[in-house]
Amino acid sequence: MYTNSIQEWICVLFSGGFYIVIGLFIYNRLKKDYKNVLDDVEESANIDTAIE
Amino acid sequence: MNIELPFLIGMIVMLAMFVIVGLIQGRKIENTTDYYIAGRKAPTVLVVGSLIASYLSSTAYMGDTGFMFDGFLMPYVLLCAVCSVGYIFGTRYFGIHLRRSRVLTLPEFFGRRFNSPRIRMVLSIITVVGIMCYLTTVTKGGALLMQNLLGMKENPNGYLICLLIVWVVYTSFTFFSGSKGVIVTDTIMFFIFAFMAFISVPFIFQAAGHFSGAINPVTDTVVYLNDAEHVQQGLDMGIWSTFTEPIHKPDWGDFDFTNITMHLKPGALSAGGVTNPDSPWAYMGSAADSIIWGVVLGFIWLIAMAVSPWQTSRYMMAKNEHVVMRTGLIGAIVAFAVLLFIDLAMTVANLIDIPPTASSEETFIWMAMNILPRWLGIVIFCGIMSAVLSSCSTFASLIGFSLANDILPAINKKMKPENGLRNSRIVMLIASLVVVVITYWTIPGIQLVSYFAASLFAISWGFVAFMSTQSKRISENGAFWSILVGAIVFTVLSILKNVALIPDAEGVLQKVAFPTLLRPEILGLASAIAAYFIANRPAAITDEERAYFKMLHTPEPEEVAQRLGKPEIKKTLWGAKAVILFGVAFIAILIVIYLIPYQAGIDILNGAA
Repeated sequence: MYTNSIQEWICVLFSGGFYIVIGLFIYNRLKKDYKNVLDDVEESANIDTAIE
Repeated sequence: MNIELPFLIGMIVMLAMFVIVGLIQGRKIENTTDYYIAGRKAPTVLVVGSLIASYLSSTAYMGDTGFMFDGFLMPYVLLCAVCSVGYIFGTRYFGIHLRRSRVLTLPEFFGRRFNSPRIRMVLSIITVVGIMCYLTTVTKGGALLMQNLLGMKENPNGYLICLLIVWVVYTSFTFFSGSKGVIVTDTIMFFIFAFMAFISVPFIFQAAGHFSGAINPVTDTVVYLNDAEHVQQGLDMGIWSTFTEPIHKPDWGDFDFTNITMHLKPGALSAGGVTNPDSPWAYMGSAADSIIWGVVLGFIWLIAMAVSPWQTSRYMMAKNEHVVMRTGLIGAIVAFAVLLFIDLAMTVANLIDIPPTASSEETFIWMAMNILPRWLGIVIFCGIMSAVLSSCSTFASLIGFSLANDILPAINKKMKPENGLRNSRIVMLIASLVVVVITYWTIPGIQLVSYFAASLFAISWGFVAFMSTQSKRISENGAFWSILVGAIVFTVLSILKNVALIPDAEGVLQKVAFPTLLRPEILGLASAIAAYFIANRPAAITDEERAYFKMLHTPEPEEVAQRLGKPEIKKTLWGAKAVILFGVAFIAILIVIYLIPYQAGIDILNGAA
C-alpha cells in the first residue's frame, strides 16, 4: 500500500530543480564570458593608446 | 489493401513539399561547405528546428510513446529532464569551440585537435556504425508507419514497399541539397510535429477522461481520484487501482486482453512506474531500478545530446556564436516540453480501450487513425513521418559526410578535393541503400537499438570531447585509448546484456543480467575514463596541439564585435533566464495536475481500505 507521495514529489522537484540550477549556473557563466570579452577588448585598446 | 484516403493525400502533399524544398535548396549548393554545413549562415530558428528534429524521430513518437503507454511516466520524465540540459553544456563547452575550428565533420575536428589520423579514422568508423544503427531503427519506424497508412500490414511485401518509399523520399532531398536543404526541411518538420504534439494532447485527454483518473476494469468507468464518491463506487465494484496491489491475480493465459487498461498496470502513475510482479508490464524491475535507470540513462543521454554528431553538426551551421548558445538554451526547453506533453498524453491513453492488435509502439498511431478527429489524425501522421524523415535525412547525410570526408580519402589518396561534392553525394546514396538492405533483413526493437547508438557516442567520446576543449593536458594517446576502450567495452557488454550468448549450467544460452548501478553504460564510461588516465602522456603533447587548443579559445574578430553588442548579449542571457523560469513552471504545473490529485487519491484509497 502507498502511504504517501513523497517519492513522486522528489521526482518532480528534482526534475524542475535541475532546470533551475542549470539555468542559474549558465546565466552566471555567460555573464562572466561576456565580461571577459569586454575586459579583453578594453585592455587591448589601452595598450594601443599607450603605444601611440 | 485498406487505404485511408485523407491520410494518404495529406502524406503525399507533405512529402512532395519536402522534395521540392530539397530541390530548390540544392540549386544553391556551390561547394562542400554549403553541402556539409549550410555555408555557416544558419539563423537561430533553423538551427533549433534542425537540432530538435534530428533528435526526435520514430524513437520518440513510437518507441518512447510505447514505453509511456506501458506505464513508466515518472522514470521517463526524469530521463528527459536530465538529458535535455545536455544542449546547454554541449553548446557552451563544446559547440562554440567546434564552430571556431571551421571543420566539416566531427571526426575531422578530433583528428585536427590531436593531430592524429588514427583518432580521425576510429571516430569516423564509430560515427558510421553508430549512425547506421540509429538510421535502421528510425527507417523501420517510418516503414511501419507507412504500412499502417497504406493498410499494408497483412501484405507480405508491404514492409519492403513502404521501406523503399521512405528511402526514396529522404534520400532524394538529402542527395540534392545536403545540409542546406536538410536544415530547412528539418525546421518545417519540427514545426509540424511540435504543433502535432501540443494540439493532440487536449484531444487525448478528452477521449480518455481526466488525467488524474483510475480505472474500473469491469465497467470501464473512469474513476476520479479526487472525487471520493466515485472512488468508493469503484472500490465497491472490486476495482484495481493505480496504487494498490491487484485484487485478483489472473491466469494470464486465459485473460481477455481486449480491455487493456490501467488495471493491469498498477503503479503506472507512481514514481517507479509499473513494478508489481503480477503485471506483465513490470519489466523494469523495482521502483528503485526504474528511477535509477531514468537518472543514469538521462546522464548518458545528456552527454549524447552534448557531443553526438547529429546534434553538434548543427552548431557548425550557425551564423555566429550567439546563435550557437541560444540554440542550446532554447533547445533544452523545447525538447523537454514536447516530450513532456506526449508523455502525459500516452499515460492517460491507458484509459482508452485499445485492442491488442496495436503493439505499444503503435499505440499513438492507432489512436491517430481510430480515436482522434480525422484532421488531427492526419496532422499526427504527418508529424510522426516528419520526425522520421528529418532524422533519416540528418543521419544519411552524416554517414555520407564521414565516409567522403574522413574515411575514403584516408584509404584512397587519389580522391581529388575538387570532386568532394560529387563524391559526398555518391557515397551518401550508396550508404543509405546499404542501410535499407540492413533494415529489411534485421528486425531491431526501435527503442533498444537507438538507445545503444546514442549511448555509444556518449560513452566512447563524451569524456574526450569535453576534455579536448577544456583541458590542455589531454594527449593524443590518452584520447585515442579512451575512445577505443570505451567503445569496445560498451559494445561487448551491451551485446551480452541483450543477446543470449552465455550458456548456463544446463547449456541453455542466457543474457547477462547486470546490476542497475553496473550497467554497460556506466562500465563503458568508467573504462573510457580509466583508459585515459592510464594512457595519457601530457609530456608528449605537441606544439601543433597546443596551438590548436589556443585557437579554439580565441574568438574570431567578427565574433568579438558580435558578442560585444549589448542587444545580442541581452537576448542570449534572456535564454538562460527562460531555462530558470521553465523549471519553476514545470514544478508548478506538475503539482497542480499530478501531485495534488495523486496524494488525494492515495488518502481516499487508504481511508477506504
